Amino acid sequence: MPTSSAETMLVAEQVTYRYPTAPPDSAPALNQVSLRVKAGEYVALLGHNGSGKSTLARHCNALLIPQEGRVLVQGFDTREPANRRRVREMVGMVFYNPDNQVVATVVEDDVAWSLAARGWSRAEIQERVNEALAAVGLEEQRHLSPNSLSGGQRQRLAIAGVLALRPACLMADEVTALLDPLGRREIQMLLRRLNREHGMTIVQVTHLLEEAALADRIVVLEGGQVALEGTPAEIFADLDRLHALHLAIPDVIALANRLRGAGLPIPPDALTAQDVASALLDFR
Amino acid sequence: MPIQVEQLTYFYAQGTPLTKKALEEVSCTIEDGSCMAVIGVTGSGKSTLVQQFNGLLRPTSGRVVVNGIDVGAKGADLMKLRRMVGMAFQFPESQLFAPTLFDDVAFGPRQVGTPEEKVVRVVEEALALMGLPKEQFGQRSPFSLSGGQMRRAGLAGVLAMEPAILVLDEPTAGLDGQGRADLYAALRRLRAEHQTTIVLVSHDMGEVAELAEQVLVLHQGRLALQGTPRELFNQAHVLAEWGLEVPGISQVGAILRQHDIPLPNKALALEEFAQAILAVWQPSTQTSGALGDVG
Amino acid sequence: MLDNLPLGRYLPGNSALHHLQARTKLLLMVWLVVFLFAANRHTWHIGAYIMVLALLLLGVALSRVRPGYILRRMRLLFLLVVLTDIPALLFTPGGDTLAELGPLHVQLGSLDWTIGPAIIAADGAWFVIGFSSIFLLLFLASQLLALTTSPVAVAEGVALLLRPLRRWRVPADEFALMTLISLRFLPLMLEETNQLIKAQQSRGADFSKGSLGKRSRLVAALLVPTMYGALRRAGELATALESRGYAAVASGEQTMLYETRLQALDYVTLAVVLLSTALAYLFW
Repeated sequence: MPTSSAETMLVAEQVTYRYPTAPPDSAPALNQVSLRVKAGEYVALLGHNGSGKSTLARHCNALLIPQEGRVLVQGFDTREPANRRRVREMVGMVFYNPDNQVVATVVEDDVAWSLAARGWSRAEIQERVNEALAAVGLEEQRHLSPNSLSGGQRQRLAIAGVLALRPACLMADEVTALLDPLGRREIQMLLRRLNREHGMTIVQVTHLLEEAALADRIVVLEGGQVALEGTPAEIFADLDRLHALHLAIPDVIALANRLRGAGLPIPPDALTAQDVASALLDFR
Repeated sequence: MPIQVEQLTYFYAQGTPLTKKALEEVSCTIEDGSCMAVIGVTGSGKSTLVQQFNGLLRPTSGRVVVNGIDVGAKGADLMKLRRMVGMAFQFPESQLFAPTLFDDVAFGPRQVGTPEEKVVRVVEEALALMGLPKEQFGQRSPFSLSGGQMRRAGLAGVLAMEPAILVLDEPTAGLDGQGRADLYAALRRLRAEHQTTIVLVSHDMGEVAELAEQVLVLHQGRLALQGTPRELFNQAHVLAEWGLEVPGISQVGAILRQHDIPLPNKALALEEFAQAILAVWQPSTQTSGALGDVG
Repeated sequence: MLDNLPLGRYLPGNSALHHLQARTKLLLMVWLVVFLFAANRHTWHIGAYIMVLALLLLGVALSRVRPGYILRRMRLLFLLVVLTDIPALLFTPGGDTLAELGPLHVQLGSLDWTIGPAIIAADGAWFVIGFSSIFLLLFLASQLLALTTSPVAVAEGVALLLRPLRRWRVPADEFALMTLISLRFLPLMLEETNQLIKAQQSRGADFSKGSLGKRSRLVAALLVPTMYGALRRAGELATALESRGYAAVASGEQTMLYETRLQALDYVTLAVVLLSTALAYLFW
């Protein structure tokens, strides 16, 4: 019997995974990785392309099954086929390209469609569609075609499609990669709001330090292993290390670091332009 | 000869119920050998503008003249124009098809009947420019490369046509930090060695600051602003209204200036900006030498 | 050019045609195919075509879609039909001779050709009229179906119509999902192909001339990326569907979002179309 703990959303223990298509002599995509995410937490999985972050994310909703080690979602082991449907309902996953997640040609149909496939009543479907569209702010676009939405709106639609299943955890895999700055901000604000106001656990996979800075905790992956782990302030304290991990340092954080090095009291958790400017003004 | 755009207006699907005005009375000049960034949010008309430069779209009214070729004129030599203007669309890696990288990059030159010994030369050069030396990568399948390498392989296919003008539509979309850095290095090499004119479509201001000397800001099909990156980044609040975000340090500068902190107006590089702040906050400890560096 | 294809262009509306159940429209479509091909057997039996044309025009009027919009989308097909008609008209022998063109003498220096005479025979003329009518009418019918029916409704209609065949192991729900996915993605893929043509043109591809070797490379330059892109898209879509839990539930009974019981409107429409076409076939 799965023993579910109220505090732990998901646990990966010593997970190793090698893609079946990879050359046999290559390093595995994940090598003995362990991860623990608490319920209600906002975690960023950070790393450059090929670091293993997406592979780890896919283990968390049973799209991939560990070859060694195990993944438990609220106590349910993903290696057990009977658990997978539950796991996928608990952990909703959104991907980088909104176009390849949206199936219907009318906004509300797309949210409703995967509920309809489950055979729920029209009344319940209606309720959940309304709820999901409200959560992502697309009520006014409900009768439009996804093609007439902006990139950010389309990605919000993809998120709504997943929210309609009322997951406890949202896994966002590079969801801003194809968006312009406006769309990026839209999605970033949405993820934060889902976390703060709806208490949803968020795991955001990203290669951008700017985005990871908004999380409660950052886990940096490199070569299929956890290289660093800590709060954003802790992680950004060692820029040389991040640079060595092929991560682009945001100029604000580099600036904060440079000023701190010169003796100005910029607090370590000043990670945005507003934070740094405020710290400077306070000191003056 | 530069690219000259005069009073360009363009309608999509003209003469149908779906007609849509994409550009309105845009005028600008892009000098030889310069790098011009065209920025704006999705739907601002930036892709529509640059597709005029090689005749994929032609003006509804107004004129676009590229190296003396009037793109809108009847009988304009579009084949010649397309040889001159290399167009790298978004995700150029999606054009890759050949079994080897060499053959893929050689596709364009061979299509236009370039003699094989010259093909070898231009392909080798294009691959070297993009940081994918022929000895190491020429015989590899383009599909075995990493994301950043595939992107540069796609661009090499455009460069093999030896264009005098290169149009890049969001060249770093979806690349990670390393991929970006490699691509910027390749584009700098291209400019240094061939003086290629570059038109860069982007919504990433960091990228614009990195590469461009001049910037056009488009908003709803109109030319909203024009200037150097330094000039534009001081107008953070104006750009924000158009959905554009200036780089982080420019944002810090904008906030500080709002509080009447006397910062030099046009600081763009990190060290330069840090020195300017230190000069205000720690005037006593500043050495005159460090200030002199700001220039 | 590719914009004129009939796929996946649903115009939401409130007309009688929009209110018809998708099943009714699909059944009528099938009926028109069978009927039009059956009617072609009798030479000069033109009444059937006129009746179908009349019904479809009535449909256009009832759908409140602007006729110009539909006409514009049919232009490409008109052109194709005319191009294929000319040789068919000239080179199909049989039946009475209706007209004789030529012979045409061409003199070029010392060379002297005689072309023709071209004979337009009755069978050829009927063949051309019959098949052109069938193609144009069916295309018009498919336009009406696509423009007035949400793709989700089409998919549900397909599922409901095929369900009785499930006992012979016809995968009705999978067909329905396939329909939905093609209606959504074919337009996107056409757009991508359009973009690819532009891109290869920009790097020197010339589609108007070239030797056999050049042309075969040209075909590869279009085909390989298209296939590669389609496969990648399919893979991503499958992953997204799987993580939305589709595979786990597809076996269950699906809730219909659009399709209800057939209404009076459906029965009347079916009766009118069946009767009027049958009468045209028998007595005209």
